[in-house]
Amino acid sequence: MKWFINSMIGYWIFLLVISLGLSAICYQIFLKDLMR
Amino acid sequence: MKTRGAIKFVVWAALAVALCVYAVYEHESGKLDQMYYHSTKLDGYAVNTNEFFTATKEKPALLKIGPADEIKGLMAVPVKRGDRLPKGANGVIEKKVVEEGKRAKVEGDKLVVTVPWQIKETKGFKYKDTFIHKGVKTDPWSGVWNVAMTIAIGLCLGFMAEGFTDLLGWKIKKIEHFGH
Amino acid sequence: MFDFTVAGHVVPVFLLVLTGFTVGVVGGFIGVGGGYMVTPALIVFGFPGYMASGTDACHIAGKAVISSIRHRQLGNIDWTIALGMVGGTMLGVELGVRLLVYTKNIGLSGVVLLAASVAVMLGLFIYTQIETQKSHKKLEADRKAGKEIGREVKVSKLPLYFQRIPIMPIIKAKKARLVISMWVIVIVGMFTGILAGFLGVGGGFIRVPAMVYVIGTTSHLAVGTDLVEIVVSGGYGALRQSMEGNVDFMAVFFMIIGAMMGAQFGSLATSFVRGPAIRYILSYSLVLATAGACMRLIYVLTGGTAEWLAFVAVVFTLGEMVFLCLFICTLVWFAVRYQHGKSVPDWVPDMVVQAT
Repeated sequence: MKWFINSMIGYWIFLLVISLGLSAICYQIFLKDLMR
Repeated sequence: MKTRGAIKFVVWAALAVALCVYAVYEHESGKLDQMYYHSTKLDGYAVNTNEFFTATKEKPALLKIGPADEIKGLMAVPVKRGDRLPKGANGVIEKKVVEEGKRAKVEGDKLVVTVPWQIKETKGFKYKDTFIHKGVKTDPWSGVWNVAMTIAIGLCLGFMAEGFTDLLGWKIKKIEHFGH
Repeated sequence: MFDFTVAGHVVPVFLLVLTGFTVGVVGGFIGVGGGYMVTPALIVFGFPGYMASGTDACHIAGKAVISSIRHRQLGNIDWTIALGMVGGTMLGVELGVRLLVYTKNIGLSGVVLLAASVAVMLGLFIYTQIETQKSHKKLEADRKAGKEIGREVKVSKLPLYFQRIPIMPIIKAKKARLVISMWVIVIVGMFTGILAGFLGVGGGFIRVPAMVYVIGTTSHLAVGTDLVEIVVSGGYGALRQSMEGNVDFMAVFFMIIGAMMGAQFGSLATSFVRGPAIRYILSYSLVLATAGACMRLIYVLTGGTAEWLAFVAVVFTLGEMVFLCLFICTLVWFAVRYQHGKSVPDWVPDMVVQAT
């Protein structure tokens, strides 16, 4: 894991996964009902 | 520097709060809406599209045609281009559309509308509004108000933040672009 | 949930404040308005397309004012360039809006808009990424050789060509330390203004690379100066959009409440990093926005039936803002750690400065 973050591309993917996860949570909480 | 920062912070924060309260007041009292739904761009029938959002071909909405100052419920007020919109209207069904007869047509003293005010073509990415906001012109000064308020609030918040960091005693140094 | 009576939709306020915050961080750091991220997000939240565009243009102006004030304090604004561009920018935005109305009348608007923005963003991403990687390598080599490295490292030769253009009047931009024909500045402003008016954005994502690679300023100066321009182009765009009836002020208001904190953080973050870091984040935002636009295009073109496609497109649209915000925040955190001598990933020391 450390090795992954040490390279720029690894860190990029790591952050992307976290942000997509966070926005998926946002979607579940807020937007699911708006977009029937 | 801290006292100057404190004064700056308080002054600009007070201004910011005042502007925000003013903005909220404008919204609550309905003046923002009136700025928006101001006058008509074309000939047709002024309607409140929120009233018939469930209209379908099988169960069309029947809007009573007749002049009025305020639209309450299922009403359609005939208007000509440039007329002031009646209160409560948020769209105009164009005369052309009525003459086409596909989405709306006149039957006796009623306007029969067979489509709801908003058709979602694709979920959330493409809206095909039928009548909401159509044919509506805003008060030209509304643009000036919007931009002026936004920039004024931005200025107040920005200087308030500068005062805040001064108050905290943070020294913000200028960036050395060309040195080391 | 708040009832936005003008836009005609009920939207959760939290999402608007969050959007304002994240895009504030990103915009304050890379010098963009964030429109190309906010407009799709607003559409996802339920605003009709044209209202998303107009509301976004208005919020950009407010957010850029907040960021500019902080950047002025940091010394990131060259007023000569900023004021020189204003006229060109305003003219460009007017032309861009008229072009948009024209394409709307022929009925091409949606697809042409998306295709044009994808093409522009992709091209910019490729050039910025390649140049920044070369600068990064040069930075690393210099640092390993023990040479002293400055705040900005650039390897692009483009500015030299543009700075040699001899058309009078030639002006001196003191803070940016360059001598350039005023016409280059005006035309850059006009060209970016046209794109801004047409795509309904602030224009920052093309003006910052233009200032860095065409006019030749440093990244930090480009960021600060561009934010001043965005006040103008965003404000003027918002004025025009308001007259068409496309702005819901309450939505703008909530987004600015979020931007109030975000823009401060983003602007102050620039003092922790070197030039290439800003250009990297800018290129990432371009590629993510392109990918997001492509996903939305695919979604619309396939008729919008697949539920999972909607989910993916929405998550990506929101995710790109969160990603960039997280990247900037963690860069600052790494910078602080590095200054205190703690361990950081290998690529960090080149990107951040030793002492602010």
